[in-house]
Amino acid sequence: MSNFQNELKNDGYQNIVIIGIGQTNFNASNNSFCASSDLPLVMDSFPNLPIRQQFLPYYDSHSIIILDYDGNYIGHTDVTNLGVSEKNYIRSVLEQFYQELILGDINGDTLINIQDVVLAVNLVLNTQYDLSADMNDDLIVNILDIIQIVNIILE
Amino acid sequence: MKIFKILFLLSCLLGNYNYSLEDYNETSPSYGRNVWEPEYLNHITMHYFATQG
Repeated sequence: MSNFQNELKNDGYQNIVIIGIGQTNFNASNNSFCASSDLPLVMDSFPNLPIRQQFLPYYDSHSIIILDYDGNYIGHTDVTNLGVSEKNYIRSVLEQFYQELILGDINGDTLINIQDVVLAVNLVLNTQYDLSADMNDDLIVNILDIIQIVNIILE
Repeated sequence: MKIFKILFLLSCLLGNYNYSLEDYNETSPSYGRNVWEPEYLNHITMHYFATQG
């Protein structure tokens, strides 16, 4: 699955992520996921499985559910066999909903201004990460990124 | 009371899924931090369910 995410990033889809949803009662499959993937993995708490409940009626074993930037459902598919047709389906959904990332535009209003600087400062203070704030692509948001955003504003 | 029921149903129909849970994969770039929110806001997210029930 992480290979497919890399394929999508190579296609130019940068601000996308595949998140594995494990279960607290399936250690073997959780460990297997981690051993074969560098994708984030969260645990759905057995027996209530609140994440799976939330994703009804779309979720199923070996399924991927795709949500847009606001957390709205935009598609799902069975990926038991992640083949060409499944990959093409996911690509078609992304083509429809993907918005080009503007580096420095942290609030997504297509402008880079003081509001983005404030958001970047908050990210640094809270040690949080946002791809649109990672100006030098070092997987950390820090003062170096803030300087680059300020420079863009001043230019 | 009826209006609250209608608003609740609307919010369900309009989507807005969300969760914020710790990333347990040590090899993931966001290991130890909470995903999908706030780590992957401004992302299209794909939620992969490997197991069921």
